[in-house]
Amino acid sequence: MSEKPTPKGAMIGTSFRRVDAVAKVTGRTRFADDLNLPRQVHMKLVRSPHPYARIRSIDLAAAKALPGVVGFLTGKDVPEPFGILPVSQDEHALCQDVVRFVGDPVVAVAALTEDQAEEAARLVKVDYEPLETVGSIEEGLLPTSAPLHGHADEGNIHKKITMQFGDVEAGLREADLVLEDVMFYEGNTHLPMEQHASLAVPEGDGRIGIWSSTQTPHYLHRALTKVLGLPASRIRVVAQPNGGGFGGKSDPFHHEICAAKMALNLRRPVKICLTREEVFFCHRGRHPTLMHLRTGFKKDGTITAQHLKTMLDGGGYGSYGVASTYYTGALQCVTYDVPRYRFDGARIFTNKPPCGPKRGHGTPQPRFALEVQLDKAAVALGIDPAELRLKQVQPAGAITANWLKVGSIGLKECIDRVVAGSAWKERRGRLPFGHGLGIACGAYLCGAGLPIYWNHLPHSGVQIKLDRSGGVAVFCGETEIGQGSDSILAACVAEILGIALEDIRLCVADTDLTPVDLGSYSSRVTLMMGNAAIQAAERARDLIAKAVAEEMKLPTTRLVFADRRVFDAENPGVGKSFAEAVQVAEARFGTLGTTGSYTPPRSPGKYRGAGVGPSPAYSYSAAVIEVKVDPETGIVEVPTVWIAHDIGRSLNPTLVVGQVEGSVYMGLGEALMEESAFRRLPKSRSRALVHKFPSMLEYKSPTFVDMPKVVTYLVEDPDPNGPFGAKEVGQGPLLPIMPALCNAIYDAVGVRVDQVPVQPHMILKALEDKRRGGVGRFGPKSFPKLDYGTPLMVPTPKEGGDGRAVNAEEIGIKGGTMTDRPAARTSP
Amino acid sequence: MKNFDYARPQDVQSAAAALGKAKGSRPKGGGTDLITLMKSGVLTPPLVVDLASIPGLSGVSRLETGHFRVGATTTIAEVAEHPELARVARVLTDAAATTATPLVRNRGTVGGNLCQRPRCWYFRNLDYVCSKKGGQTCYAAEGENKYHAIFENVTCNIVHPSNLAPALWALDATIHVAGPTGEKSIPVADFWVRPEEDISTENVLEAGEVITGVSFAPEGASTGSAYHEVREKQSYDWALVNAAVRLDFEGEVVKEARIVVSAVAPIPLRLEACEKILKGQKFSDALAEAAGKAASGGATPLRDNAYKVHLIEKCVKNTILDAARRAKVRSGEPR
Amino acid sequence: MNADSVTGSFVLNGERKTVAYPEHHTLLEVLREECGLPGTKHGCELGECGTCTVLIEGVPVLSCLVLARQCEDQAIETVEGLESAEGLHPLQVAFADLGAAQCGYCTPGILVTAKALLAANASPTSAEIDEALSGNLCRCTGYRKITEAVDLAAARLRGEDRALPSLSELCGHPHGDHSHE
Repeated sequence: MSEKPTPKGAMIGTSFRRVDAVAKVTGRTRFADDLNLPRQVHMKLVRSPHPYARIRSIDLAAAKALPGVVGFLTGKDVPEPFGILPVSQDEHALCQDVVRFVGDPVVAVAALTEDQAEEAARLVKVDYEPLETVGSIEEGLLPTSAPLHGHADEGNIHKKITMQFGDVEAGLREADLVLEDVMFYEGNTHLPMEQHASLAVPEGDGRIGIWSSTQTPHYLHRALTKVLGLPASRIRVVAQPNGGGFGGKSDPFHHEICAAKMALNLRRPVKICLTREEVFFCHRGRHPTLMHLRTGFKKDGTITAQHLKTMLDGGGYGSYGVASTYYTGALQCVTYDVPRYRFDGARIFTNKPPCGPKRGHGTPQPRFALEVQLDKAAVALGIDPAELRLKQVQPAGAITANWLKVGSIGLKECIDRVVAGSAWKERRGRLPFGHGLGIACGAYLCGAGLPIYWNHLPHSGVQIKLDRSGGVAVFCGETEIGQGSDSILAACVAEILGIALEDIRLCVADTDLTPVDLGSYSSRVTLMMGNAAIQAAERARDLIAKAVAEEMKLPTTRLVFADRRVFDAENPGVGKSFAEAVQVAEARFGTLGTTGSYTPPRSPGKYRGAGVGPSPAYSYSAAVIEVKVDPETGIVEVPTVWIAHDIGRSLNPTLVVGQVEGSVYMGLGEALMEESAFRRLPKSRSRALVHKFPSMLEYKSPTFVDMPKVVTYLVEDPDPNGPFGAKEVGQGPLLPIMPALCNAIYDAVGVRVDQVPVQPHMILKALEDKRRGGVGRFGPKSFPKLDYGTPLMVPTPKEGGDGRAVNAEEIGIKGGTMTDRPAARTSP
Repeated sequence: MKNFDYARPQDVQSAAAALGKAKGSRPKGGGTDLITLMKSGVLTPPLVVDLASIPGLSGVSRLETGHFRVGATTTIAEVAEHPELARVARVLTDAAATTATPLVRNRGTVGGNLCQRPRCWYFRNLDYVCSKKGGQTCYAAEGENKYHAIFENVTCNIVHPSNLAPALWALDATIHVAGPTGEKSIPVADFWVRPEEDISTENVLEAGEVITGVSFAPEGASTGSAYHEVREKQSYDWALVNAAVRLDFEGEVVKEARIVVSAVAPIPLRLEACEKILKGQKFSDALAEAAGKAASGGATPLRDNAYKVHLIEKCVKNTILDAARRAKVRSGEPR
Repeated sequence: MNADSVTGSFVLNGERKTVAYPEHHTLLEVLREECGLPGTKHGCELGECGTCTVLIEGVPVLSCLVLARQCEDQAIETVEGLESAEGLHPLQVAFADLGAAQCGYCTPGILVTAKALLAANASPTSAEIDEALSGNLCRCTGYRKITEAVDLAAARLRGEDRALPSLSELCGHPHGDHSHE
């Protein structure tokens, strides 16, 4: 690749209109529920009204008698378990003998019309034997609680993790100040505007296709293969553009599998669109998390050691839960230098809809705890909270105590920008009572370093087909969920080939036609797909360049691809149109096509658990939030948010700012109102497990008039691993919002709310507490006792470790992690 | 949604007759509440009688008596944006403007707002056969009751969802009703039914009866009125607490006071204890504060909603202050 | 199709449309299923999200709460009616260029709500735009780009020659600079 012609930047870094913009503003985008086919029937799922019960019997007679009803499925039709993670294959497309949350599906019904299917579903009689439910983390820890599943680490403790990097107790002893906090982060849900929908279509030769609102067509493909018992090559999954995802459409879902099975049975298309209530039942939202955080500080505010304990309320099934649990500990050291670190995490099964990945996956909760605690430390030590943070930002290229390799890091500049923009130094601590500023930071992955199942295959693949018309077809498994991945894919290719977006036709997210991309999760798409696209486009460019250079009798290094032309850099008038250049190459090499793929670099961590956290790069954010708190009502108003995001390089500033503002919005929702709360009724009311009404009204989310003014700063410090230097922006900017808000409330009215969402009554209670001479705090009082076991001991890089645990065998942990396996052969 | 018959009568008498015939039939205004209840299966009326196209049932008019009349199918948006109503019944236009969202206000009607069913999540969820739906239990009493009643919550803990109701009561309005037996007028104060009297309903309307309109006297030269509510969100949210206040002044002295709340009790509630504190007294901020304090008298909060006790005091105080300020502005006195 | 179908007729995006549909179906269902116009979306079907907004006689309403039977002879406008042979509506252009549509699911409802606003008020302030759209939820954008796009479209509809924001206006500048008081 020494003779690389230099691309001329035309697209990258500009606010080009997204490739799907016109389709979206004209209503032409086809979401899954917009698809219809002749002979299609409609399917509904009968879901459990009980949080935990044994299925005694199912009576379909009345439903069968209804006109228009054409088919049923029950658990015995889909006996094979599935689950997004190989370690927790604990879901069934329809429950086998036990239901584990209100909304667990039991029967699928198909009928000619949606009304008939709905009526038939109502007429299905399921006889349940209610079981004693597990309602909370605390209840799940009781030795008497009957295990929901057989695969848990211990009782209803689905997963228990404990690991230590360096001598944490010694670090705490060296500290001048040790803070200990218990904090709580309530669960919340994605609330995508689009309700999940699927259309399953059988083909005559025993093949089945499913068009679905999924963020992860590849993983759905795998689950379907397993449950349907068909070869993967006979199943086609197409992800339609998602009407919002945020992580909520990342699991393979019951309705998708049932639709496929029903379509195979009936030999006709089967359509299902979930109701909004069912979307709440699917959930996979933020885990409610209780945290215990103990951190040592020197007088100057630097951290000496940290011990974080988390407990996650997982709901009824595994979902991404094991990964979520690891994530509550994994990224604590990538922002600031935490020299010694211990993490204990546990996920508890409860009889609620399963929790899973939501924007920030597992990291907003501990980030909240850490950033609020830093604020408390700054107050205790009399240091400016911004200064305290600036003092210990990780250096670029650092390897953290838990063996994550940090690449570029623009956090200092992020802090500087929001401090300057908000007039922090002049205003913090000096505003009138009720008015305050708070600061916080965050960091996030640019794609998980490892796939969800053990393999050494590329994480993203792109194919390019060059047409002699000059049109370029680009094939990739990536999934557009609103973030703009289609636009980034097209722009990367256009940039390298010097053509316009209009010259490109995309074919995406189709397991029959496109190379695998693992899906729209973990902020991986821009980086991984982008690199794959660049590689494929560079290979195409090199082919064309070779043929054109031969014909023009020029070295390839003199050729420039720009303005839909290929021309001589030293004599720009001499060259060919892009279409002519493609024809020259096609004549020289035959039909033109290239591929590109991306596999993340290997992480230095080799201990068990080191697979969660590594990423090719990390993005950084800092935010200052201004609040006005009405001390009479506890109502919090947010006039302005200043947020700076270290994007590496902004491929399209409009798309990037859109992601930042969207993250600020969702963060404020989590900070102020959004909650998926489930609680028990008291004994006198049957101890039933109840939750807030699953509707978009009762699940409060911010509206246009709740949204503050946002000032966004983009910090550009290109990362060597990013496509054109780019890093992620979809998730990271959410992270500082919740803690910055709570810190601002403290600045405004002098009380701490150590949990989110912050509701008016909590502020009133904290103020009341302060008036009565208390510390002025609202939050959880205690952290449950749990023996996390003997920690896996991993010496830190500074201690001369090699990334491996020193006591793995001693405590009975076999093997390492995927990162510890021999490398796959690199590309030929 | 279950199938139903649909009637679109052209006059009130036919509407009443149709409603009287089939048990469980429902009149429909904008449908913004009724359709949601039907979709969730809480109501399954055999017949829906649409009042929307009955001529003369919509609009704002001035009667010969000088009173104002607002037709039952007048949209909430029309009330909120009505310039004359804003002058003569500010408490009502304030309340209308804070209702739900612009899209709901464009369709929701005055009659429907008064008759909408409670938002209690146990009532709205078919899985809970609560006492209001014919069961034995009020699940909110010991369940999730953050948004429930703090007054008169013995039998049922819903809060009345209408915000036009307290505003109309503050205006001492009359509700006009047509039914199989003819027309009648009911003072707003007498329109409500406590759960202890009949838990299945919130008002006195019998089968076949529909609201045709409301009427009230315009505010006088020394009157001020206001409606406030405290919400967790700025739009698309129900009040945690609210207050509708109308004050008539004679100079600096409060001659008459009407203070009504709805979001804290199963039916709208007139706070006479607060009114008493104001009546006959020279107005001051301290007086408003004292009246606000009295608003929480007799409160019986539940596990999760004690915060409302504090909020109602502040809300009533602030609404009184606002109403008094407006009365002063109107009477031309310096602020 | 149910036995109790009815035939209805209304003016859809300027064209007379006569369709048969189940009597109890909402306008939303009839638009998407019987009229073949899936541009109007649904997010809750209970009037809680604004996604299904259409204009009836120019007024934005939640089509999931409107019975199709109520719409006899009325003029109904959906997102599909915004584009014409002359091109995209200025609102559509502004939404496309400013990134006001991310996943695009709430976009059709917001576009028609905004159109009704601009018909009633050619020069709305940002606060007025926010208030008018406060019944339309969006989970992607954080709303600010939508408000700006409506503002831009309003300016262009008034005949002002307003350019797209520069990079320096996009970053480091307040977006949504107004008070809601």
